[in-house]
Amino acid sequence: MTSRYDGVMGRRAEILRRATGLDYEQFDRGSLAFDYEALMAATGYSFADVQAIQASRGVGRTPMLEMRRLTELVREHSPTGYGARIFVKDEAANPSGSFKDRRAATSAERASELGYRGMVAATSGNYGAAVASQASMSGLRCVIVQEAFDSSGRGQPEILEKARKCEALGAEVVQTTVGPELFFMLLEVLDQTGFFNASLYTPMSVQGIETLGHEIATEIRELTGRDPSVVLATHAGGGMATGVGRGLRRANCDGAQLVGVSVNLVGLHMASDRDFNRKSFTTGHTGFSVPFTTWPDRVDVPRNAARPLRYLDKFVTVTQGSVFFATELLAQAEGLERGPAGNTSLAAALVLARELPRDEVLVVTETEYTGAGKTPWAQLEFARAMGVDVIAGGSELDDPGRTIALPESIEQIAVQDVDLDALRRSYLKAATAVVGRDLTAEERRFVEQDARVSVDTQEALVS
Amino acid sequence: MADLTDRWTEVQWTVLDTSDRSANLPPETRTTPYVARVRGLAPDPRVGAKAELTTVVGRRVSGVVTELDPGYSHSFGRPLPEWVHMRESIRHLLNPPTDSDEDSR
Repeated sequence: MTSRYDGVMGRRAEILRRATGLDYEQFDRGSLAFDYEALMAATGYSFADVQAIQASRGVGRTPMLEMRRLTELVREHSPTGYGARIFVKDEAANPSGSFKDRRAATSAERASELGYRGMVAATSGNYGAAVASQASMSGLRCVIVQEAFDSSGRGQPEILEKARKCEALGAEVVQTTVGPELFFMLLEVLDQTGFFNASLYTPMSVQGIETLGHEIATEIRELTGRDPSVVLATHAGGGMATGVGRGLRRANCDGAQLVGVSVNLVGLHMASDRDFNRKSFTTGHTGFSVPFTTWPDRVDVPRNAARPLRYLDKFVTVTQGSVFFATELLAQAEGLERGPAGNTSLAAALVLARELPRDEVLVVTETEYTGAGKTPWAQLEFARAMGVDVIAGGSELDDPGRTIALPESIEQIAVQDVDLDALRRSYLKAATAVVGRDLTAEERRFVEQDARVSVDTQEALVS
Repeated sequence: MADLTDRWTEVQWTVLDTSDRSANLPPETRTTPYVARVRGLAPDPRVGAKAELTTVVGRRVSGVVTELDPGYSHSFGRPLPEWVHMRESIRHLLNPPTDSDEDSR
């Protein structure tokens, strides 16, 4: 007898086709390669359309704030002539409190156009609230499926807050224990409801972020008369890096270096019932960013529209403790109380701005709302209850799942470089494993674009 | 319109038993069932008994009742001494103490 699990998983292609309204096979060019730009164009939305959709929903055009006191502080700790001007895009000003509204807006528009009665998304992040909010705005129903608690029933406080917000915005929230079977749960709800799959990884979702990159380029030009030198994007599933990268290019802002920033949670297993509640950051961390960079197509749609290796120039990690430091500094120095996870890139900014001349500009792409469950107090108290040591000290003392070190000064914050070339090699290995043979010349050309590894380098790597 | 006697309820059910779970799970996850919870309106629910509820989108879900009138208990938390120490460091970083501060004590 076929189990319910096998039955649903066996029909995954059919369920996803019905739930996305998009035939992904038309973009396939053999078993590995696909036409990425054709996929991105398949929504039929021009960039101006996306801007209009977001404007009609109160999404985007968020304040671009100069961090004057933070910049001063950074300059006090920089070599003479160094310490770039730091700007922050206050994405917390979006309707549900994060940049995720940009992704949900285009998804809700699409779902409405195609005649769906509701939307479903599998997410433990701010995206849940964004989908719930945009669904309500469109008169659509909404179900959020969320990995929320461990086998003892204990929920991560940040995730509990996100569930509360989804329910406040009119959504049903299905909360599960830890495991990749979240995908099964998603498929079952999609199958049962016939709702739209508002995946984070559809072309409309990524198109929704292009406006953020474009706004950054145009607003910085207006405010400073120059292009940003560095743009810091929190990096998890790759959407922020991809969308911001595309938006910057759309604005011809080619000189800006795009840096992905993740919280370092290396060593914690993402499917571990034990490790689950030893993370103070539930998204924007290496548990997502490393696997999604090396193989983007591990998602809830046939092809991931977020392709970070195409756009990232640099990738760094920061510690959990330094993000809490940045959160407190933002509140005290700039009068902005914002959610810690949204300050991941800000923590890196405190380090990277010191390496740039003072007339240059560095931009942090986001902030997010805060509240019960999200605050550093809630997170740190929970971490200690779960057996994580919380100590005073520099980034070098931080040990994911074991120790959170809270810095006492800016000098105690460090970023760690992630070797993008090593990730490119892992991508190539994954691609070769997927096709199960040597890559053809056409496939090599696809990898050259998708992972930015030249054909010559690929041949050297595989030989 | 829901009947006034219907109660806001949380139910829990086992989605997958340990034997049906995904391959490649770490042992601490593989040895526990995959469990889900949802909230909705149920007629005459009793904690610990089975119930069928209707969610806000109209889905009917059956499970064991875990809570009646479920709310939210996550909080802003309490400050750890190490966090207070960090805040004080930041305060001094932004406003270095001056002689007059000392005089006014």
